[in-house]
Amino acid sequence: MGKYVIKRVLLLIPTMLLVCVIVFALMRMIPGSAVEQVVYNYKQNGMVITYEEAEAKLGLDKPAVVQFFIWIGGLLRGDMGKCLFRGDTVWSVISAQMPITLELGVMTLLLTIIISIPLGLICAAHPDSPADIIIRTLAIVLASVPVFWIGTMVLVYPAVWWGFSIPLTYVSIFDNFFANMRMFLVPAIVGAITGAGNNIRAVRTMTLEVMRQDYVRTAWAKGAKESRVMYQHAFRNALIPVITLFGGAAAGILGGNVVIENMFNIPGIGQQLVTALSNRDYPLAQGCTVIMAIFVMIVNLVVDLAYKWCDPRVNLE
Amino acid sequence: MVQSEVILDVQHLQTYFLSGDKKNPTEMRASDDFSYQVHKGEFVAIVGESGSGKSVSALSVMGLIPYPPGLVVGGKILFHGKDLVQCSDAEIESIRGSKISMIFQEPSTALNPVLTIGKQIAETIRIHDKKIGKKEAMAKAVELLAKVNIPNPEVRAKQYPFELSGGMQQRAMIAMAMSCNPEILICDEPTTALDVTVQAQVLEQLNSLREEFGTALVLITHNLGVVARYADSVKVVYGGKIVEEGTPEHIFENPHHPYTLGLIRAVPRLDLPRSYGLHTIPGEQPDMSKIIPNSCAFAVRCPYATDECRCQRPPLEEIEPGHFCACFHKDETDEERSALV
Repeated sequence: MGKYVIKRVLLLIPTMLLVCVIVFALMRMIPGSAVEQVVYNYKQNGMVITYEEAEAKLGLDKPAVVQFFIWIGGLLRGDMGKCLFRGDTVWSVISAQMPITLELGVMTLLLTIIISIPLGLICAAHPDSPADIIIRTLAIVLASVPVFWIGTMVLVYPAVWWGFSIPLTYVSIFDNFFANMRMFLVPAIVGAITGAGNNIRAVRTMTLEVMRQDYVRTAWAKGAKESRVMYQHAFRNALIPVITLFGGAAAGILGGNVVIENMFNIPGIGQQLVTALSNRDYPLAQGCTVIMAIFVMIVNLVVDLAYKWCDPRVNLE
Repeated sequence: MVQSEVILDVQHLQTYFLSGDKKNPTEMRASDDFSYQVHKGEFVAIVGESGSGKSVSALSVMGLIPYPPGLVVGGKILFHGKDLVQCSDAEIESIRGSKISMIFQEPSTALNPVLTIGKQIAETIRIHDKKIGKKEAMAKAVELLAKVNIPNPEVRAKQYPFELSGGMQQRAMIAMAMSCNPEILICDEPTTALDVTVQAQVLEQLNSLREEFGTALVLITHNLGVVARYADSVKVVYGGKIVEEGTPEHIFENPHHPYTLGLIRAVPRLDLPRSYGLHTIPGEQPDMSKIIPNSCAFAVRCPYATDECRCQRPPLEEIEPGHFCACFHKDETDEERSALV
């Protein structure tokens, strides 16, 4: 087990290197460049800068390969470079905004799990019962409605009807827990219910599949009560595909929910990435992407370890 | 065998599988007017081909028919005089696994893959004995594993089903089923999925446990050799009904029903010349939703069938003490019977 973890962590290194190459190349392939952006900004402010001057100022006058090695060299020393358009270093921006995204991501993920697993199990325990039909219908509606629509409705209608609006200024969870929750709870719920639709259906299908297995019949034949059959025997086995499902969701959610962060004005890394991309802020966009990639890889590792935990047949070596 | 107390009395059991919609309902009569008794400590064999309703009748006794679509629509299952069909869920849960238990055909899928063998046995013990502690139940599970001749029971108890061979898995299933000292153990084709050499060991094990604990065994099988060797009483099933029953001597030496005769003749014989060939029963098991309710289910495949068989169900009649046969033409099968070698 320990050996496996070490092996996987070591494997992260070549993967990261590949991610860096791809991210760097993709950034340079986007039409338009940071240089044009700088020239444009100067012009807006009534100043003049030539293209070459701007290029040299941004360090973009060197060949791309040289730029890449400068960037990688910095990364290896823990220096992600400086933002092109703001005075901060990339790391200071990411370290300020990553926790915000993580908070929203963890809340959304927990809510998704809290909503989908019990509802999915209720459906699976009594298929085609009224409860099952109601929950399934709801799940289809939730899965089909886009997140930006629900987000808009949640922002607009409480304000119209009750004059209540969700606070849109960020307060750190450490400064004021309740003010922070007031801001985060609604977007987390919106994220969770839109994700829950598909997850409820998946949990239901997977549990039903397991309910048909012989060992569930054996559990009944032992004289076990329904609750025991459901949790000890059916759900323990259905957990294996369910972990895959939530593992995928976790990777996505922790990577930053760009739409929700933008709608609810949450200064997370998703929002930052969008800004960086539209400004062609190469170091910042690269830094954000690399950090997200690291998160996705860590989540995948955790998911693989979780398999081992819930299915003894899995052999990690 | 001296007939002792009747512990299970199944009377006119009808288990149907309902399908189709409200306008056009179809019912599959998997078990139709199925009656049998199990005495204390008896070895009962239920024989028939696949799909004849053997398993359904056993699952009905356990209350394990999945509804929908399956449903016990008629008859009584009296266990010590108490009708299990009418029992509440809680009552039947207290009987299942403790007084009547069951083992299944495929041990590799019948054991929960994510729990250790020991835990699964201990679970059964703890379900029916609320006072027993976790450790004590585990110790008892190890003891049971030793009882069914599993070597290194302490080690095996901590292993998962996939780490055991098929024969060992089935032994573990037997240990689990025997954990509460049941009065009846229903075995649904317990050896079909096992290697031939292991089959004999498992059956021997079952029989010795029966003798040791006085548990009645209901063995559902299509292995006639096993039946001849162990059973006290044999029921031959066709189309959800018992067509002939009696002791193994009655069934094998003096079979009267054309279906029983066909079954016995279909056993491959190594001691006969090849020219003797392999006998088969023409046709196949009919779709049970299409059999006319009041007719002999075997009529379509039966060489002796007449119009009488197609519009009337032959009653189960005693032809000699303890030997029953349901056929209008049972007296015409002499010639085929005398051809048995």
